Amino acid sequence: MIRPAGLLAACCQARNPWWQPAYGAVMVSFENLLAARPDEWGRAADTWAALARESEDAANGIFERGSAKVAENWTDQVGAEAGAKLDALANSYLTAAGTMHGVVSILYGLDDSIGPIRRSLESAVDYARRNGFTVDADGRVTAPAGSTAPPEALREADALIREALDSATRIDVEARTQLDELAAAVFNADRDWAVDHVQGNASRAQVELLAEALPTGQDPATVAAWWNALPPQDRAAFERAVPVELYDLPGLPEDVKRRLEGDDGYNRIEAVRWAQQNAFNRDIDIFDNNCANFVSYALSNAGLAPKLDDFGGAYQDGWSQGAQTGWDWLDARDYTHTPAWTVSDRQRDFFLDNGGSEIPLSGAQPGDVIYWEQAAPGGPIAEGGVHHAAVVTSVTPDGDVHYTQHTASRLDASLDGRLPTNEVVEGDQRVVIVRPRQSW
Amino acid sequence: MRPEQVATAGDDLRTLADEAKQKLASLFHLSDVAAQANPGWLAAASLSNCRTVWEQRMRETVDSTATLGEALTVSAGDAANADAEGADRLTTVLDTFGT
Repeated sequence: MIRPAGLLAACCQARNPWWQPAYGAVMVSFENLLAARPDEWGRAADTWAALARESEDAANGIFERGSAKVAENWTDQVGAEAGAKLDALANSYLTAAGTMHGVVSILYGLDDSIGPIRRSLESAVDYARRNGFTVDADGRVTAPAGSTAPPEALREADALIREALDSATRIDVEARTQLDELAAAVFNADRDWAVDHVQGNASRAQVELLAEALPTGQDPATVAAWWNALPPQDRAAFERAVPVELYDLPGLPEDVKRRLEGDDGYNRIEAVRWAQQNAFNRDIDIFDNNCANFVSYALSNAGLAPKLDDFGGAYQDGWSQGAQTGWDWLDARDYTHTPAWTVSDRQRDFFLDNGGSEIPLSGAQPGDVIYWEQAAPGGPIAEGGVHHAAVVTSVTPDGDVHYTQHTASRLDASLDGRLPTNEVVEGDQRVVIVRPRQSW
Repeated sequence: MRPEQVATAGDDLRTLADEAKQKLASLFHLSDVAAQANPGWLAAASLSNCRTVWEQRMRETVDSTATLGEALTVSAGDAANADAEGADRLTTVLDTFGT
């Protein structure tokens, strides 16, 4: 797993035996994992989401019924001061909401990662007992004297139980760290910092918590046993939330890998992988705004062929970038990039006019492209125009679409977390999911 | 100043604060339920702490909302009688207002 700002990378390296805690922290016990109630994390997340909505509504109410009325009806210096205080109060609510969305991300991450791990643990215990082994109160698997069960079965059961306890511990440690940071952010008064940094870290961590629930580092036989024991809803959740990490597991069935790659003319896994690995790589940023350029690079690196004219050259209605000199100033001005490569509005139209289709938000998949269309006056562009693009890199089981983008660089940002603030600042948005498909 | 309009803005803020205050307690409560349902987890203790500090923060923000609403209403009333005096009183309130 390669993530530029990987929060758990160090933890992924070590696979200590269960009797040697790897992190200087208290291991999640066998008993506590079996008795875990991850659904309660999810219910708590629901209420934090409601709190965030209340805060956003309060901010809107203060802007509309407070600031606007005071500005209109009290035009002297004191009225201006009162209006400024009202704006500050509204932003205080938005700052709180932005951070609360981070709490939502971590709690859903706990629910959606610990749930499958607990089910895996139950399945491993059941497997051990069906083979006649004993599983003690600490999760140790032993064969009774005279057991005729194959030794591999004992090793497999033991590996699955250790994997579950190790994963649960890593997730618990990371969730603790994130929640402590979100608590400390109570003193932050900067709305943009709350949304961009505090919430941004949490939304990325939500995806990483789910990745931690995978048996990364295990041998193919253990991975295959883990996958075969997963209920269908857990398999589907991992495919949408952490497709690259899942794809890279040795022992994952080939048909699952082919499904993850897709058949749209580009490899969806490689599009997501490229986007995540290059989220903070500024080398390609030669324009003032590089969102569509970033999407084009991700799809191109995933195998989507450029659309050229009949003579193999670039043309206005195609999708390509020509030979690049490496001199950013010149490359940005030499007309080698088609509008569909660099302009989000033109790019959306190009994909829809050339084999692609618009997908309902609920059907978004990693490797799709997400666009923001201005749905009301007051935004950065006229109503109806598209002004931003990004690559969908994860869809977590709570239905939140996570995306990766440039200008500004964001990795696995949360749509549910960011959109409310975007709409307060920029006006209503229509989120459009496009699934490109090569028809040329 | 149009005192009636400003007073309405103040009333709206106080109503908003009253409604928010009632919702806060019930919404934060389920975090404690989640923590208690998962004893022994590090995340449980951290969630309880997160709930405590954010509940306090939101109570203070809601109180500030009510205070500012009250200041607008009172000052609008004063301004209807003596505009300058009302403005002075609001300025004093705004100077000590912590948002």
